[in-house]
Amino acid sequence: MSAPPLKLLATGAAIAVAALFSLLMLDIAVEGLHGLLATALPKTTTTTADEGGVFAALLSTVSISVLALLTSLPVALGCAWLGVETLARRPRVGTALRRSLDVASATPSIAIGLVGWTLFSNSFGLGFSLLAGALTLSLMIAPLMASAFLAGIDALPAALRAQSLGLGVSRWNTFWRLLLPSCRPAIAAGIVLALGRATAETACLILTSGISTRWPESMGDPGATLAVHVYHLARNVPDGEPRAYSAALLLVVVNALVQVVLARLRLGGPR
Amino acid sequence: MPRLASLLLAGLGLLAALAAPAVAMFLLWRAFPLIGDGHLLRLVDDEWFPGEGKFGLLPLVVGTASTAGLALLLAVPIGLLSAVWVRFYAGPRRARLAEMSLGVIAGMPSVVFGLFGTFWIVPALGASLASAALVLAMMVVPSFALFALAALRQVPEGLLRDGQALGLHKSRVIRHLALRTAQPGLIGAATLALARALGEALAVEMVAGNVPNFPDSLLAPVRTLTTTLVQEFEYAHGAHAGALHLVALAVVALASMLVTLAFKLGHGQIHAAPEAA
Repeated sequence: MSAPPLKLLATGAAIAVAALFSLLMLDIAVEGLHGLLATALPKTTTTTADEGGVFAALLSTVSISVLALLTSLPVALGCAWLGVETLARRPRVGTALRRSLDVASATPSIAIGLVGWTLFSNSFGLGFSLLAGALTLSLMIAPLMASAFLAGIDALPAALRAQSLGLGVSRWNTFWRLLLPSCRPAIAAGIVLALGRATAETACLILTSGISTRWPESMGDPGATLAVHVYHLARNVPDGEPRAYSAALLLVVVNALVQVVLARLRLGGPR
Repeated sequence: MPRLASLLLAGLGLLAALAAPAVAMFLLWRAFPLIGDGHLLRLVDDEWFPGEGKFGLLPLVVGTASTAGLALLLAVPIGLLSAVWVRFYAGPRRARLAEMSLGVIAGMPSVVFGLFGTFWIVPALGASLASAALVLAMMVVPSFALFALAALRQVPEGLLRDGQALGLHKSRVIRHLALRTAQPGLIGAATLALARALGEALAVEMVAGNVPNFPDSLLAPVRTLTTTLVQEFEYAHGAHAGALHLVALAVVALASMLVTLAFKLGHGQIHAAPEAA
């Protein structure tokens, strides 16, 4: 008796994976649409707080993501500058920096959430707020973005920088006018990657921006993002299933759009 | 002169460059209420009852190890076989479609997997170790398959053709040449998947049952290190807060060790984050 041929096993595994994830997507699509229709019908008289749920969550998601991206971008650019300069002079420090960014990008977000909760929410007195959430999130996505930027710069021909400096262009101008524009697709990919993380994140936000479904009035108000909203409805709200699914459908659509943009950027970029 | 500006930029950059060590130092500092009191030994205990000052980490560690380990046991064979299919059997068009879909699913929010688990897996298996492992396995399969695929793509085409020229059957070429050559990258990929499974909090919390004891069967509820943070952060004070920060530090330390190991093992075959989440 011989083992089943590899081709059969591999094809079987691929079909199983495809079937499982198709089921997942189909489930979200069907139940999500069903939930959206059910909650949109006027006969369901729920409280305003619950009614605004998904849209308030959408607003919270956009506010937190945008603020986190805005605060992360200068930090990530600074880190790219630091990486280019240290690597040019001290390769070992440059390598250590890249390693540190890799580790930071892989740090479990719940741990970053706890840091954000203790530092921003309590010590800085921000409590559960969009601002605390965005700051915590940027602690997570800035290293990720910086890592993507540096990967883009590292992929450029090594002589590029040396030639520019040799022509008498300052290091500052070489960085801003030559290196960064030359790897524009990688910069864009880094930003979109960070945006994908921001919209998908739950663990670090549940500890900092909270699970409130009310309409946030300012950055000082708490507000659940779509992902947190899905968690809260599925976990804590009795009969929250239809609304959890409708929020999940929105979340998946937003996230898939980000992923598709990312994939196109990556395919178009220099490899 | 942009001298001041460049200093400012470098200063901003340091924030990201030092994020990882800063997070670890901060957690260590905040764990001091526990460590400083000489309570460290209390952590090596099999009871986690913060209300009674019992901070035994063992059940949580066992919960994390069993859920993540079991998830890996499920995800690695399936993910590896899928990667083999994409690389060697699918043909270019289906391979592209498969890779694109895996990318989209790998970037999906983990809470979506938790939701699916809550309404599809928990009704069958209960809130249990098995449910948590299945949800985690689903979550890590796409990114593991992508990493494995990247490692398989690095195997030199010439080597495979040599094998075929020697008259080896395709499945032998794959098993003895491709998988063997890609082995470091594949192990690196599995290590990254383990790091991701260890660190996941909410998707597990939704389906694991969250009882801090030692699971005696696959259907018993479990509590992990990360889910404890979700459940207790809001009302923890004093030694309890210290214990939670120590738990977070443990998770961070484990994850960063695994990630460093993955990059060492998969030298040149593993690149940071080909997937989005």
